[in-house]
Amino acid sequence: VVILKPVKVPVWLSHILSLVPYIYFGLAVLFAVTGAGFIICQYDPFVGIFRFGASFNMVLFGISILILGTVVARPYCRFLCPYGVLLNWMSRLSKKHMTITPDTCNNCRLCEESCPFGAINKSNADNNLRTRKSEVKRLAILLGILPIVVVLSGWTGSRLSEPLSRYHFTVSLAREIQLENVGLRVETTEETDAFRASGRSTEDLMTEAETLQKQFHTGGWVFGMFLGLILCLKLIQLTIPRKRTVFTADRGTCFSCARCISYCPFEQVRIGKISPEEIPQ
Amino acid sequence: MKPDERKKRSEVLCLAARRVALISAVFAVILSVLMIVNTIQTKSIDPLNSKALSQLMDQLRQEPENTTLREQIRAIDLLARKAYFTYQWQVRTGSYLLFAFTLIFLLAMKYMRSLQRQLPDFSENPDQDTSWEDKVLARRGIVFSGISLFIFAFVLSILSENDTSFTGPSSRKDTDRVISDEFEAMRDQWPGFRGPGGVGIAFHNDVPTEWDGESAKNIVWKTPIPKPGFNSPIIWGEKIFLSGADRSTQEIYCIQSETGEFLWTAYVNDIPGSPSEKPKISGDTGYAAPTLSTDGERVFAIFATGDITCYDINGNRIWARNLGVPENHYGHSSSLINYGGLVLIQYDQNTGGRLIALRAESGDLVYDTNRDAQISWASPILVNTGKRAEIILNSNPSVISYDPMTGKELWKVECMMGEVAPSPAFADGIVYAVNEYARLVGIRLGDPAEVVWEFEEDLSEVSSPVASKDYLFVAASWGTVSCFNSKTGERYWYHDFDEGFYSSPILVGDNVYLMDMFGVMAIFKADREFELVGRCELGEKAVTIPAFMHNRIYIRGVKHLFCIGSQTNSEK
Repeated sequence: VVILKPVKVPVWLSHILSLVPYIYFGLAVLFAVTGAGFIICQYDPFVGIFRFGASFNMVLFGISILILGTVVARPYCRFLCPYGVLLNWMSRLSKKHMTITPDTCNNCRLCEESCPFGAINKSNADNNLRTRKSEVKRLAILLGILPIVVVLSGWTGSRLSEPLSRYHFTVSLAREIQLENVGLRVETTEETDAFRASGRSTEDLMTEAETLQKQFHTGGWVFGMFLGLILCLKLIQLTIPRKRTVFTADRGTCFSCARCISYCPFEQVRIGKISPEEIPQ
Repeated sequence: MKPDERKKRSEVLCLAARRVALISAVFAVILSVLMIVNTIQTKSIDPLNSKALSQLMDQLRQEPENTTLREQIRAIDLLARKAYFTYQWQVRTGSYLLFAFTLIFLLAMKYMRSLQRQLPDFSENPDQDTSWEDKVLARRGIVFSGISLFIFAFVLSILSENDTSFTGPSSRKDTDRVISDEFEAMRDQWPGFRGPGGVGIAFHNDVPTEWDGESAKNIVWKTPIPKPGFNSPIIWGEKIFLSGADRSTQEIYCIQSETGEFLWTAYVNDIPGSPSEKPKISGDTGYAAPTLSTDGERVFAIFATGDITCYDINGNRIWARNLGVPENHYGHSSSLINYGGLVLIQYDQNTGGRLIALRAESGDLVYDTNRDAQISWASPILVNTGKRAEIILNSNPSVISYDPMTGKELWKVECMMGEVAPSPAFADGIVYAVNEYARLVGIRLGDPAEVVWEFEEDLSEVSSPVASKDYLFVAASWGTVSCFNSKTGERYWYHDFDEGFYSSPILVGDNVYLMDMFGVMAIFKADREFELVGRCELGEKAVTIPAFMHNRIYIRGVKHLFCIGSQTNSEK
């Protein structure tokens, strides 16, 4: 909910920040699949507030997001929420979607600035598509390097398997036990004490931790390739020249809040607020 | 409706909405203030624990027949409950009202804003489509972000690889795993000089802090040792191993830890290459100064003659050989240490330094590494950095680390001088080395290892330091004990004891045990401030390192082996 006058995030910045949910989403899936934890729940800034169980830092984060939300429309939904990634995809695949005008769009531009989320695709009917040739060339380059970027990202992701796996309790415990066993750590922890009291063998723990690290290695590949693919698709999306003759709500980023509808003169006519003669040309 | 009429109507509605918003805001503020005041006022009301009511109830217990008092209590109780429930009703109702007024305020404001909405005016700037420029900027930003992300991930992955404190299971080879398990097994034992790894840390912490040799208080048993020796007891399971030697004989003893009875004595003789005439040594060192080591199946001993031998734990000789008579003006004193099926020997003599590895099961030479080192009397320590195992040796002029499986030098820090006797210490990724008239250094492990701090006063001549995560303790031969910040080298305190120290401090839980040359054990807190926990007399001179196992302490005096344990621990 935007309480005060919304500040628009520049379009270019909005595109860059929209990558963050994909990173979060990829990590969330990786951690969930490997059993490391459900980070979406753990780091949701609002769930803890509703359940009265949030840590101070999370409350602070949640309040900061809410305060930011008074000027920037839905900052968490747009630039952080991993669930938003899925909604974005589903929305793009949906058969029907909200339209700004109930009738025809006459490019009056009244709706142009109405969207606080920057989710209106403007008409470029009056503009010539510039540098089409260079864009086609750029597109060809992008398509050519896409597999390289994807593989390189996957490889980088796989190299992150060690630090990422430390988030898993079993791997972390194995590490602590090993540090204690080799004398690198003198003081024991509650976790290592509990493990030693459990009677489970260290060999067993190490084997499980090793298996998990292998899973993280594979998962790191998939995670890296996913991010590489998203990066390339985003660039391709920004490169393909598209002719738009009318103003439309962007299927992926539109929240269907309907603010733009009330700006449309055809809607005003429909609800009887103005007469057809008053429609701007 | 005409535009003028619509505008007029909008203005009227806008005014109405503003007033509604204002009134609802005022009501919301008044309600908030009232609720806060009400909460403060009634915070202390608890009908079940009213102070006045409790006093009256006490009075009623003394005067049970006082009906007036009973009625008074009922009336007060009723009042308190009414007040409490009224307060709850007020809070509930107030919350609903506050919510309602806030909602009205927000809706009115929103309605007012919608009536005031100005449609954009494009007349001044009819062509301000910047979508193309935005896309170009976005593309550049995404490419830059992608490259930054890639660099960040790559650097992070490299840093993770070099993080010596991480021991990710997948990064270990099978041999490392075996060795790590070996370490774990050693934690429960006292397999060599200064305990597991030789770093002076005991893992059997429930040990006595009081005993007295003269009155036999907490002395479970004491057993005379036939031959002299300055080596310290080592323990595996229920068996204690020691050695003793003089000019004519060399012996190994196995003693029952529960009773102090001798299980067997091995006579170390008839070794090929053993000198017919014993080398000259100092009385402070003797012929049996090096402490033995054991891997649980075998026990290994070395003497001042260069004779090294291996017995099984039942006293049967497996192998024996002579390493060459040490050219050592005080006598050889470096203790043995086991690792990965090898017996490792720091063999620094006047002819030069050597690190020798023999196969534990056969005594065969695995490697004999020449060291850039002068003669020393220190013993090796064994550490596992998480990435690899290292055997670290202190000597003049360097502290040097080797791969214990191959003898390959891993790193070297030139920082020592003189006749080096103290062994290194290790904790939390830092190796500590010291020698009198040289310096005390903290060396952080890594590639390369680097000196992180130095100190040059009150250094030890014989005693080896011991380190915890936060503190380092150094005992000097003239009786000064210093405590340092192990990370920075800042000296927190020093304390002068009556006698000097040849024995080394051992970290036992939160305490440090340190025995002076007269067998008096000082027990003090391993803490930033000096705090003496206990002072216990053995009743016999002693310069060896105590062993901590079975909730007991085993100390070798000049004549006897003592077992110290409290009554409760003895029952255990």
